[in-house]
Amino acid sequence: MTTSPALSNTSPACFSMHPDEIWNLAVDTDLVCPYYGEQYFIYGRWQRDVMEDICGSISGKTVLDIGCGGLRFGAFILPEIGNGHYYGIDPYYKFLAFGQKLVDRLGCTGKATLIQSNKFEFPINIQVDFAMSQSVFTHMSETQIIECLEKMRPIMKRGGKLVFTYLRTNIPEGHHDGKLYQEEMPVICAYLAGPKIFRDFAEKYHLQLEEGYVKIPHPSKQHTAILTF
Amino acid sequence: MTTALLQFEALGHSDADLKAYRTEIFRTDKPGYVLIKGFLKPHLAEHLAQFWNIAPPSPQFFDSTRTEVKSIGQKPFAYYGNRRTSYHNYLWNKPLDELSHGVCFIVTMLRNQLEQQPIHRHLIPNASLMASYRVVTTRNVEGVEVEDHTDWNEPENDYLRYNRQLTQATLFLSRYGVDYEGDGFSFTTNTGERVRFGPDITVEPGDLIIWRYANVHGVGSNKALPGGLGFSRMIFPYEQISLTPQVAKSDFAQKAGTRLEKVFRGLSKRRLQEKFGRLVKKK
Repeated sequence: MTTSPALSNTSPACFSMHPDEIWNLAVDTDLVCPYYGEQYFIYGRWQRDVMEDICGSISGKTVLDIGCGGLRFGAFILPEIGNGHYYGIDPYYKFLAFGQKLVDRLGCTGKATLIQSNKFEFPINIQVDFAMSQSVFTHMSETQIIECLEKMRPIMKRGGKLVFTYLRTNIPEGHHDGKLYQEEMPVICAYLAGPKIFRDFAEKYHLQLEEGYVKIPHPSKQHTAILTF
Repeated sequence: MTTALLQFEALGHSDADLKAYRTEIFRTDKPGYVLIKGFLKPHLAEHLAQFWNIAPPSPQFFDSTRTEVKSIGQKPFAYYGNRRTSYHNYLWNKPLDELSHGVCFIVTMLRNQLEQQPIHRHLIPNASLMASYRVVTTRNVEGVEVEDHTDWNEPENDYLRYNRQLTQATLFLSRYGVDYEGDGFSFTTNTGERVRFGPDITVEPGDLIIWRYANVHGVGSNKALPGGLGFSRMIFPYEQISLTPQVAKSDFAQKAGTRLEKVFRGLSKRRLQEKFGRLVKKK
């Protein structure tokens, strides 16, 4: 193989596909995206580690994965999640098609509910312990972020946590200008959103906002915050 | 020279074609390249070959000293040698040959489509990688012309470290066995097999290969046949440029800067603070 080396040492035992397998599965879904190779494991592992750090454990929790894409986070927690306790939402059908293939490949078919929506149409009858929004708000307008947070409020358990990432500086020169969703969805380039809108939202609803979570640094140095409902 | 109008069919690849190309290029069990036969019609390929080999632009259009691209506005670069010539063109300059410029646009747009990137990517200076094109003709190189290497496979660069999706392209402008003989262009496939375009895989003028940039590739020994052009091809490298405008310094500013630099060279930060502190106090 001439592709990049495997990162088997970064793959937890519960999710041990070779990066080439992930990449080929994405190519078969007609997705050519740099995040579906080695980076899949780097970002997936980070999200899993953060959840474990904050929640103590994965099992027994109901998880909402906002902008779940091809289940970078989901793949790392599904084997430990109870049946029907993982909800992934994303507007792009190709990512979800890839995610569904992966769910099946992992033998976790009954565990995941994947929702295609760009209006944050979360299931109304769930109570979420932990929500993740990794590198998602960075591509949303402020209106979208607020809409997302507002729609989360009724479905988050009291004390439920949302971990999200955001940017506080401009994208450095040289960073790729890659698009998301192959131009089929209205997604904006990464930009500075926050922290004011998050502070205002937390203040409005008397929620606790912890900015600057650094215990497990984000792989691409985005800022990480925790909102407790 | 023939009239060279770029035909729009060069842009018209169906979604099914693109998906098939992606599979060939990107799946790890596939070759890592796609060969598009007749990408350019023969008269267009002939125009390119003739323009750059028979009647190339005058050397005054080129900078022949500056090999490294630093910023927008830089002149084209030319390398003249007995064994090979190479013309490096940048899209921000006025085209020396309209067709060549156009070909660079359509090839880059096709690469963008294959990489599922914005169609304008690398064509306008809104990010630090800009497309460029080189027309290289080898007439007599024995041994290795370009060592086997990979590009954009840099462990220190966050963006490139694990990027599997960048592609490069080679447009062939001359014919193996007629214009040249030798090793042609060598490429190592995704499965580790070494192939040579020219001697092993037949390519005609106007044929295009799009290949994974990070795969090992090189150019070995090639020699022009009597009456032949040599091994002539067009490649489309991305150049890393600075987006910061380069402001030309006046002579005065340059001289003043150099003198100030001499005065302060070797002074520690503390010493500088003392020096300026004294000046401020005197005021």
